[in-house]
Amino acid sequence: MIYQRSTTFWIAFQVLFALVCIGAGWYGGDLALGFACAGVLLASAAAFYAAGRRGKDIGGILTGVGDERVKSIYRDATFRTGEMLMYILAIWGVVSAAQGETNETLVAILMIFGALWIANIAWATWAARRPVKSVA
Amino acid sequence: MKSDVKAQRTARGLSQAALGDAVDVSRQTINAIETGRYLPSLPLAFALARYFDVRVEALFDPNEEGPHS
Repeated sequence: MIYQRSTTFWIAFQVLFALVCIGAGWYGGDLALGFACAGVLLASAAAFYAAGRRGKDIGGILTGVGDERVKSIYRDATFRTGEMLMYILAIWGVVSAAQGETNETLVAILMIFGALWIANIAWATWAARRPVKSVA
Repeated sequence: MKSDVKAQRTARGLSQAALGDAVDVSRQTINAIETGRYLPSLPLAFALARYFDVRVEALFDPNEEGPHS
């Protein structure tokens, strides 16, 4: 699964993305914003590192790598985050429109979110038709 | 769901970590099953039953409530 990566992968990804943020800030002429974005990502990477060292269980829940219970908790947390984000973005979009400040980026994100959701439902429905692999 | 995993495990003098290793899950998962905080999947329930050489029905009873149910 694409969302199940090791703690090391996520730390490396966040550090790399922090560098990309700084680069984008520099390129866009707002280095402060780039550093702020990088700071958040590096803090998140540090939290992943600390959690991974504290316990295999916590590291697993953060990354989705682990046994069936860990994966179940991870999926539940990811689902809730996605669901909450969907409502937040939708409300944000409606409020922006009501204020006469339609945010084109937000509308594009909402459209992408909706399209991805439908695509994932279609994929999950198709995947659920396949026979389950037996476990030895 | 009442689980008999703890009784079976302690009767064999096994630690939660050792049982977890035997059925390829973490110690925390065994603890969660024993305390009724997690219902194992069907494959894991069968793996536990096979390990203890008992029937699944002997290990898990849906008609009785566990400690945290």
